[in-house]
Amino acid sequence: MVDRIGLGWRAPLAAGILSHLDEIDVLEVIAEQVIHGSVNRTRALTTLARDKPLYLHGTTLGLASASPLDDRRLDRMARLVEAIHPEGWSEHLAFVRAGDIEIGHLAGPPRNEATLEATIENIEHAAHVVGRTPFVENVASLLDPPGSTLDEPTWLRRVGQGSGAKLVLDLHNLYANAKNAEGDAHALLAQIDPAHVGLIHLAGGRLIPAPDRRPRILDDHLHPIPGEVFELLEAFAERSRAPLTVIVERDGNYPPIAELLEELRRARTAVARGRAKRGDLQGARW
Amino acid sequence: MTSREHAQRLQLFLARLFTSEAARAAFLNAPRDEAVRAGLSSADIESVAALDRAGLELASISYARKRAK
Repeated sequence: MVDRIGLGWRAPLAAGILSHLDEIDVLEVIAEQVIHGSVNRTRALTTLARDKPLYLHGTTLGLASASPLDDRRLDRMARLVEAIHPEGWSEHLAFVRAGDIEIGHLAGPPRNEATLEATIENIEHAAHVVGRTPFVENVASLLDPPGSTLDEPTWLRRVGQGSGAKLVLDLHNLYANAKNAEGDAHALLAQIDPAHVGLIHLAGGRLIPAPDRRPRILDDHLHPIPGEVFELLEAFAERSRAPLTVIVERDGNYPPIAELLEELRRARTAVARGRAKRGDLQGARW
Repeated sequence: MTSREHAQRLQLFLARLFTSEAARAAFLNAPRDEAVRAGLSSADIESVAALDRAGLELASISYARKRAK
């Protein structure tokens, strides 16, 4: 069993990442940054993917849209997957546009039978066009989506069961959603079946003031990963039987690479602690 | 109208709320009237009328900043 801890590739971090590749087990690249980048960048990542497990991460397909996906965007993702040969690719369970309106980011979808059916169709179509089933990520939301008749764990589980897609379990998104709904993140995590999880994301955000004086957590990827998220990772590692691939995401306000590598070390420690607890409970299985 | 069409209408309605200050103001002033005008199902009308207004405001600000980048 080999757990892997990696980092999201971002251009401002490139030099630091390349000089510490031995401390990073896996990399994840934002697909749109490559699609809209230079040919040289694609070639460099293709070369990198030969030496280091690499995932492509999409942000603009909107898999949880109630409408069909944009085939031009899917075609671009398919060409990128074909060029780079990543270990896998992923996208969010969000809607990002409706009609002619671009929201500009990842909106949490109303969780009901209709969006479930549409999301499964979208994932199956994406898998057909790209040639590989995406990993699909739970998103953070500042409000519980209206029109929801299913809770988030149920909706996520049924998306996985219906499409065969494994979950990118973003623990900061789960943490933020639980806190923003005044719920318990560990109770929410307990409802996620580890067998449905293919990748794990870690990130940080910040508390923002709200008009109703109940601050919410904004998942902005601009701040250090909070301790509570490492605790969730430890709890998940204790329950999971499969090797884990954990990716730390940072999208701005970049600290020195040493600080990000320290977050990778903390993630490694959290996974090891969870595994050790499982060993205590279940003998020498691990 | 099918449940899929209702879901599309609801996402379109939410996208307008997230991106248009005028649509948001009209909605906050008369939520059910705006939801009816958008052709939402009766269940969705009740659901959007009860939505978290502070969360809507915060989400709209967050999306606007993303679009501005």
